[in-house]
Amino acid sequence: MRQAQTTELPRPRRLAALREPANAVLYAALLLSMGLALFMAFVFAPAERVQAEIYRLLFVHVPSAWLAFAAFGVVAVGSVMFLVRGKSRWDRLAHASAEIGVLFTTLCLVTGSIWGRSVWGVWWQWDPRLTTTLIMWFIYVSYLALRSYIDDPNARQRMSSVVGIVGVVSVPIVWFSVEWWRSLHPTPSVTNPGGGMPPEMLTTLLVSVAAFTVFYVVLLRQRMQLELAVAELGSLRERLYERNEESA
Amino acid sequence: MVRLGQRNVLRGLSLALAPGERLAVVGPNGAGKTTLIRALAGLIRPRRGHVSLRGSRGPDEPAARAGLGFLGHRPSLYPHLSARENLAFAARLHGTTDAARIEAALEVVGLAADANRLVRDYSRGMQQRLGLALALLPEPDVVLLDEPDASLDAAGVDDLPVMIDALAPRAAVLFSTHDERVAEALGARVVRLAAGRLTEDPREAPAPKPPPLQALPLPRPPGFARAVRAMIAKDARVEWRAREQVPTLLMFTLLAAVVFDMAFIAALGSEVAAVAVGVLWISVLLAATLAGTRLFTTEFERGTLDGLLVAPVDPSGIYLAKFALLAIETAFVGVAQLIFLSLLLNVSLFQASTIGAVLLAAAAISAILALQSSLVVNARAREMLMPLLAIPPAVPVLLAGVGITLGALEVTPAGQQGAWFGLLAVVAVVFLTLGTVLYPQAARA
Repeated sequence: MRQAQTTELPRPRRLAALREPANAVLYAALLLSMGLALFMAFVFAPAERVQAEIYRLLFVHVPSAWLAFAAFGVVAVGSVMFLVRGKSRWDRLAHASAEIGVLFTTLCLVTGSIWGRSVWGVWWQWDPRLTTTLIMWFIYVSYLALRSYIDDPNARQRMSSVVGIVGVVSVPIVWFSVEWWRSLHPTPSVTNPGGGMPPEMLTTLLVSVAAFTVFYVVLLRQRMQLELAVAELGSLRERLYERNEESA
Repeated sequence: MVRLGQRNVLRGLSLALAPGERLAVVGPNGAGKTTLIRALAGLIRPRRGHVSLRGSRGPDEPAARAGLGFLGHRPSLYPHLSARENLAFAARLHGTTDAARIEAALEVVGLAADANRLVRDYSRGMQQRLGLALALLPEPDVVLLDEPDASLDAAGVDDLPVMIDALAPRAAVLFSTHDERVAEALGARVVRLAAGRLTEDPREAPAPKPPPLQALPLPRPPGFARAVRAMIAKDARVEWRAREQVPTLLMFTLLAAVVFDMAFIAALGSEVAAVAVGVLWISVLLAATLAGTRLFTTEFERGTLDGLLVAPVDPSGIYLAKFALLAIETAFVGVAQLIFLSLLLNVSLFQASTIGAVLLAAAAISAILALQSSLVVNARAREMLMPLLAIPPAVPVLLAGVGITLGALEVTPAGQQGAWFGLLAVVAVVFLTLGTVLYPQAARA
């Protein structure tokens, strides 16, 4: 019987991270927290006096916005650390967090638009909070575009790190836009004392934020592990290439 | 180890070059010779390992590059400058204006008779001779030459030892070549490079043990402001000769004024001032984006960016020079657009406050675009990418410009103009600071 040919390349150690038990724990936490958040959003929290049921979008809209800010903060931290330390794992962190930040910002813009149609009667208002959020979304989409347009990994990591640091300037502008300019957008009701949110709604919102945070961590880990697998694949290809060259 | 793309181009490589020593790196195409020389010059960051110049500092420090002569795969030459002007610019970047040294270099490389001709009219061999003169001009003590014999005729190859002996007699010289006769003519020790590794050659005598590394005194680097001024003057001279940017941008803004006015013709009756303001700022932003895309790309494509990065100047100086050039061009085009629109739409846009807004906005937009332009040099389809990258951060400038101009035309109350000017100043200062700090990080991949 003919024996199957096997390559004798060493098994990459870091890929073992893909099978870590921590992933199972995180998935369980995600399932539980999301289930609880959904129950509280649709059952526990009462209907709002003026807006009735549409206000429940708040439990997706606000956590999406906060997690987007946090994600872009992580992009900046990863970018600074990459430029200082030069380790690819920091760039992988920034890249993964930017993708998730764009996802959450998109979710925030879409839910805000649906809410605006019901409450303001229009899908879009040129309001400072909405406009600055849209600009922030464009900045991070351009960050992802820049990455996809540069083939050389070294250049890609350095150039996108610069955009990752510059882009974070947009986060405080979005946050403070409702205070700096006259805005139709509701002012913060959680961070402001006496914001007027009933305790059931506030509790539900905080549980939603916690569930979205777990969701962010799960996505971040998965995305980084995928990036790691791609890097390992590249490294294996390189070693195979070197081996072929040496044997030739 | 040096990695390019997915490949480790250089691996496990260790070389020491003693003062005055000459070392030839010989190897086939793709062996990693160019990558080695670029890494030694500080143009590529090694993934592992380090490069030390004069026993102490790496080539990423401007002071360490003060005595470094470099000739890349393509000579770092400006085609719209003469040979003498190219050498004078390089001399200024190295902090000298020694005219006698420039004349001596031209004489040695055999270009004295053609010194005032523009480099674009030079043959490839003449450009290579001028590239050698540039590398040897700053009296270097370390010289890196990537295939110095490339494009030279037989006489030129024979002249190589004479050029190096005359202009850099005591320098340590490392060069790559395919031709071992060149190594022999220069009296150089030969090392062979294959697939990114040094290979032993039994025919060669063992490498002499280099003396223990000791820090040597560094030449005095040029003043930062002086180098920035030299780069701005060079760009202005190149633009004056080439006329690639300003006339085209002027025509673009005039065309934008006409086209936008026609598109908004229905609104021109009642809302003429609002239309004029919108057209003004959109056209200024688009013109600046067009010009900004070319800021670093032009240097990158003609190979002169390497020359700037190897000069003993902090790379933030390159960013500041490009910022200044773009700010001047954008301000010029913006003021011209104020005149065009005042005439075309019969509105009084040409006022002190609107001129002030255009000048400050030109600075703010240019601070953003100069940084973004430096980021796209390695990107595919950079002309497509640049607007996507540059326009979102420039939105506050657009809003402030519109706010100031509407106030000036009394469409809105003029009371908020101070706040808008403040916003423009903040954007300019924030992005100038970010660009100055971050460009050196992006400059070397």
